[in-house]
Amino acid sequence: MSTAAHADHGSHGDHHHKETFISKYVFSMDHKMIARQFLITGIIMGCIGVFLSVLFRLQLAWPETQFGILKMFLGSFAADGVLSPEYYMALVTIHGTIMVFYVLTAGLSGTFSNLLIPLQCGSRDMASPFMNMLSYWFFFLSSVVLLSSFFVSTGPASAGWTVYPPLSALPKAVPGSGLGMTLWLTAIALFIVSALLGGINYISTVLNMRTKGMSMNRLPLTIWAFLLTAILGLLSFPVLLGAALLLIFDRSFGTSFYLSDIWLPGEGAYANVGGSPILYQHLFWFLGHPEVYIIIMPALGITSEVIATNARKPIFGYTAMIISLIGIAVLSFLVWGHHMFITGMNPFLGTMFMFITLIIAVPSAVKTFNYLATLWRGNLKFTPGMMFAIGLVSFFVSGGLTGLFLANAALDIAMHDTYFVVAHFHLVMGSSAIFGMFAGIYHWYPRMFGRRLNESLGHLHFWLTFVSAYLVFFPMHFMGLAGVPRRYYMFTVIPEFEIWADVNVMITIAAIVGSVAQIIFLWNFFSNIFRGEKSEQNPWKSNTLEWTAPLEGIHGNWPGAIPTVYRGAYEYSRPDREEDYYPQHIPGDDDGVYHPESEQKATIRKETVEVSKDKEIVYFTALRSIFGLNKG
Amino acid sequence: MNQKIENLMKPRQESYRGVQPVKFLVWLIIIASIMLFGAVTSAIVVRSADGAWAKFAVPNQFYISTVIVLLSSLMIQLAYVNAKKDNLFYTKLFVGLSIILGVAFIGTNYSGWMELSNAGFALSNDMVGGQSASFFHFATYLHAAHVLLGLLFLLVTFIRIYQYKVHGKNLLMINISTTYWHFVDILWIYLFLFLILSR
Amino acid sequence: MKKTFKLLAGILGLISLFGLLHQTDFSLVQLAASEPSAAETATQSSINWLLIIVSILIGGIIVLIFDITNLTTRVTGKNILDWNKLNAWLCLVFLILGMGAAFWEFFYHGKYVITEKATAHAENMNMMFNATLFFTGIVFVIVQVLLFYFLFKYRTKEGRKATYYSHNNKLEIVWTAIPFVTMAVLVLMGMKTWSNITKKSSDNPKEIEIYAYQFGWNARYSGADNIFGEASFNYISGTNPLGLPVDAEIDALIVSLTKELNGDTIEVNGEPRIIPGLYTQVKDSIFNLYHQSLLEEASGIGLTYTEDKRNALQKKIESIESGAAMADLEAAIYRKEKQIQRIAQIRSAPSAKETIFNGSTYDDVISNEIHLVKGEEVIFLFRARDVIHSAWMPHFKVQMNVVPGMQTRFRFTPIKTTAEARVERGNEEYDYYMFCNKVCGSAHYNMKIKVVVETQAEFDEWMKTQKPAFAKVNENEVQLEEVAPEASDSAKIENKELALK
Ligand code: HEM
Ligand SMILES: [Cu+2]
Ligand SMILES: [Cu+2]
Repeated sequence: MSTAAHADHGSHGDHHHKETFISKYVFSMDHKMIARQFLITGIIMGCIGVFLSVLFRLQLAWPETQFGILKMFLGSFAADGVLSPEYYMALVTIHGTIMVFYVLTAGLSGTFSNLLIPLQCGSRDMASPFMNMLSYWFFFLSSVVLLSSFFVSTGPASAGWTVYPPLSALPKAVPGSGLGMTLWLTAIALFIVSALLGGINYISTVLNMRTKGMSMNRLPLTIWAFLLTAILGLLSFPVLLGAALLLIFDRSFGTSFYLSDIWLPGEGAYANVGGSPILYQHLFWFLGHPEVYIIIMPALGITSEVIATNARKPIFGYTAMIISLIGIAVLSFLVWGHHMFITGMNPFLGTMFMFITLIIAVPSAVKTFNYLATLWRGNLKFTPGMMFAIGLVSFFVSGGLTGLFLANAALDIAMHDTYFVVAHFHLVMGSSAIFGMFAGIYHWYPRMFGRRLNESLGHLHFWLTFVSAYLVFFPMHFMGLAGVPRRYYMFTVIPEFEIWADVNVMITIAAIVGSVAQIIFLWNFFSNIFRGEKSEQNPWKSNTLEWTAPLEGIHGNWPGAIPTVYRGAYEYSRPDREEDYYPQHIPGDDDGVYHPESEQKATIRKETVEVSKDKEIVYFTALRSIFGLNKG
Repeated sequence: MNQKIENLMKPRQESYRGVQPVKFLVWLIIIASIMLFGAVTSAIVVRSADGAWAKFAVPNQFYISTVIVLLSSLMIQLAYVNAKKDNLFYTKLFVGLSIILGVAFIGTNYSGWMELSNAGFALSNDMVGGQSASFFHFATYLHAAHVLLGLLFLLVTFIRIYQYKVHGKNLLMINISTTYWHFVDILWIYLFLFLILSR
Repeated sequence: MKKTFKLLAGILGLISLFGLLHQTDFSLVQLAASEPSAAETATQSSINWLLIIVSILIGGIIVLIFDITNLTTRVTGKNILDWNKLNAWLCLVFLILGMGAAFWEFFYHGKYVITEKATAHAENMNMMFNATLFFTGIVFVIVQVLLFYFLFKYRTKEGRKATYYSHNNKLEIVWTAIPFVTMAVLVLMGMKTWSNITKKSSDNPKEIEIYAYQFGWNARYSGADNIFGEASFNYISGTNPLGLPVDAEIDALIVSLTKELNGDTIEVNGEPRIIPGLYTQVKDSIFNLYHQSLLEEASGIGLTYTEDKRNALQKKIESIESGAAMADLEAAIYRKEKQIQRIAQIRSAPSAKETIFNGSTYDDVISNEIHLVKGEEVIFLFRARDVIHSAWMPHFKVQMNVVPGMQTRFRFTPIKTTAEARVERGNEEYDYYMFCNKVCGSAHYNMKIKVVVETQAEFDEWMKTQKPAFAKVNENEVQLEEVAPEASDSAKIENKELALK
């Protein structure tokens, strides 16, 4: 590492320090490079996660059919080309772990928090670039450790991504709980360190290093989302670490925190007494539920930004958006019990968890309505980023609504751990967060690489992915409601579930189509890093600060002084402006807020006349007059 | 190397609002630790409330540890005050004493753990109600890990005092170490009181 | 130049694609068909390769086509594909087709959704479900329709400017309040339903113990005396798989544990032979001897073994060399000593004879089917032997986790007999089952037990055919599934091998 490289680039323009390849591309402390590292590692992990899902989907669609491809990739774990039950579970477990932690936590919030926090807040870099670099390398190490469990002779961890003990603590109960599980725990511990190092940096940077004029109520919603995400992570990941450490002690140092009254054939009665497996579940889900918001909130933030920019409209209800984000963040710590309704918990506790969980639906609903209102009467530009953001909204609604069933303790009795749950979380957190991530990638690709993606391929990618995701996950609701349990290796041993055979085939084919569609994206992404069309400085005509810094990405972000901010991030299509955007850093003679008093009356009146001609929005005119917009 | 640490510590922003960002990081780390211990102690509360919970006598070593902790907190505070006044010799002295007391703390704890284990209350004991001892060990180990991290902070500070990198105008490093060290000490007091009461 | 090159590449790709498709189309169909013979596996592998290549090629060609359109756009400055317009229309199409498909699903697959009223609480839950479905259904349709309609309607057009409309507090309050009220309704209804299911029953429901293990279930009825007794994992043995407090069984268990520790003498071909106990085995000399013999085997006859067998041998040697085998042995000793100690402790308690070992479990009935009486309230008491399982009876809307070291319960009243269910379905073979719904290992997907609901008379008839678990004398008459001592590489097997040396 060069020592001079990171010295005071706060001081203007002179960027002539020598950088070696290693300090620039490997152990870089530049947040933009770290963002790219997170993204590319995340994409690679994502490919693995998707690939695993295709492998086990083959098993579900055509059980007992031999697939050379399985033997080819899995060797002895799929002797004769048929996945073994243990290995099926291992694939599901690693798929879940990779998708939740590696792709949608590190890959999503790691990438975009790193890229956007300094750029959109107007800071030269993170509070501690060094810790930021460590954060990436812990993540990298953690990925390597997790993947290395594929090469263990007893296979990777196979107790589900939630790794409930005692199953995960007893190598004699399932082979995956041997070395594979040890590696899983190590990987997660490293991951937690990475998430914490990253998270504290994001928080400190947002709170302390915003440029002049960037008050909290002018922050782009992306930054609000990243900030709250980091806070959620800061408060919940240590708890997971505690849970994991206790499990590590149980597995390796003979304690009985989670173990009690166990008897296994060939082993006899275990010595452990007095532990409680349920304790693990409480600790795990205390992280686990905030974790789903850690996943979805950055995606929501990105969506807000992308939708507002491409609708050429202010995001509707900026304050309400922030309040609902905060509401979600606070409430998400109080609802973990909804994953444990049928663990025999005290019914009164169940009632409380049900109550709070259903209440958390309110801020989510507000966000959705605000997105709709943002689109209303916009001037929608369908960039690929915009399409993916729209896809997120659609998935978020479809998946969020089914949450109202699962939140209901009584209904959950008949739904817990069925395919209904698989459908629910894949839509509301899997698909929608992945779409948020894609929206971010398409939107900020020029910012990251200085080049543009092929737009047509982007749209093709969107439609194939969008349709196949619905095809994969929508039918699963009905399977779940018909009682089909999740994490089953096959359904042919239970006659009642055989009616789903053709649906399973359809789902698998859709999953394969959807996965192959990702190749389009990979091609588009990787080839255009080098050969893409050079992007102009502000390709989407966006208001935010990141488009004012040179796209080639220099240390310290801005060659001169950091721009000062004069207004909020969403002043699009202001009636008093010729252009339909008004970048935050352009000085204006106003105080940053649009005061419609004088001139707006006229415009609005004109507008109403216009509007009443417009049949389709007659209802909205009515609404507007009811709620007093027309009063000006 | 030193040059690099120097660079890392230097706020590169022309200006910042609120708290110095790096100092803020330490507060955030402290919050993370609080959550970790919050999780462990609430696990103890929940587990001790239902079922058997063996009682045991806390070895005296842990009381000595508590005194050591209080002393070392005092030392590091003195070091900080002296650094502010540019009294580098006393700064060195007090930071050094803090380090020694930190090591002594681990030592007394270690002997405490041994005594507890020999009395039958080991980390892994498989007794009915033996959870109480397991949790006692677990929580104190976890705290010891935090002490080790704190010692690392102190060591870096110590070295940097020798390099004249810590003085009245450059208090960041010693400020961080002091904050963290106080936290580790307060954490111990909390944990110890908690463990005695819930034993 | 570059353009022509790309075109050429595209055409070449297309030609090879057709060639490949021609070769593979029939095999694609075969792939889905079941039962490929072993000989076909080789061809299948190549088919898979072809599949991969084909999909990559298709992808590549699409990419090329779009690349070319992009290139022409760049050169001519004109958009061949106006994505703004295209997407707007696609959104509309998606909305119509998607809603159509969703409704089709709803009515086509919706008929498989379990709405059966097989238990007393099902009615209430169905009502709750329908209420939730009503609210969410409305929101789903409204929001999705608005979303895609807006996309279509407000697509960008020449000269259009968006309306500057940044907030409307009243509107926002309204659409916060409406969900809030809806949620309040759902919460209140939910609380009622939930407390209906979980509240303590006033009259004493019949208790049945449901015992879960890898990978099966047992049901235990308390027998004539109506007492279950205090079973414990400490007493589990091959002949007492549920760990009931039966003196004779426990005596036998202690004898066998002691033998395992101290060694035993058995007869092989009429000659007495000493089986070394675990204590002897951990002694260095024996261990080394065993190691030595394995090494000899590996370098001698081991060379003629099949690969699998050789690997197994290798593994054994490695586990000895790495110390894992020794650690296993020591752990086994520790476990067994502890177990003996614990049993002794329980037995030595002053009131143990009256409260635990009082013979109340001898008349219990252990069954491989769960039999319930129509209209009679039951409460399941769950116990697990090894890991967490979950009792899942979809048609009864019953689910409860089964956790080792902790008792969970579920109370319900079945109100439909199996016979009625058969008539309803027109299927003479139909049976209710309880499944496992918490991942518990390799055969999790096949862990089930038949549930029979019948009239009181039928139940009594069935009960008469069941034998008590233990006779007063020490003999076990109940057939139980064998508890396979399936310990792949555990100390036990080595133990035997050692004995035969
Ligand atoms: C290619 C797209 C995907 C397909 C076809 C797919 C399919 C599946 C299926 C069928 C299961 C259930 C397996 C079983 O219960 O036996 C599953 C589990 C899971 N998936 Fe996905 N999935 C996809 C993408 C994602 C994404 C984007 C996420 C991110 C959140 C995700 C997270 C999970 C999790 C957390 C589980 C649960 C794992 C467990 O049970 O331990 N998946 N996936
Ligand atoms: Cu949750
Ligand atoms: Cu099971």
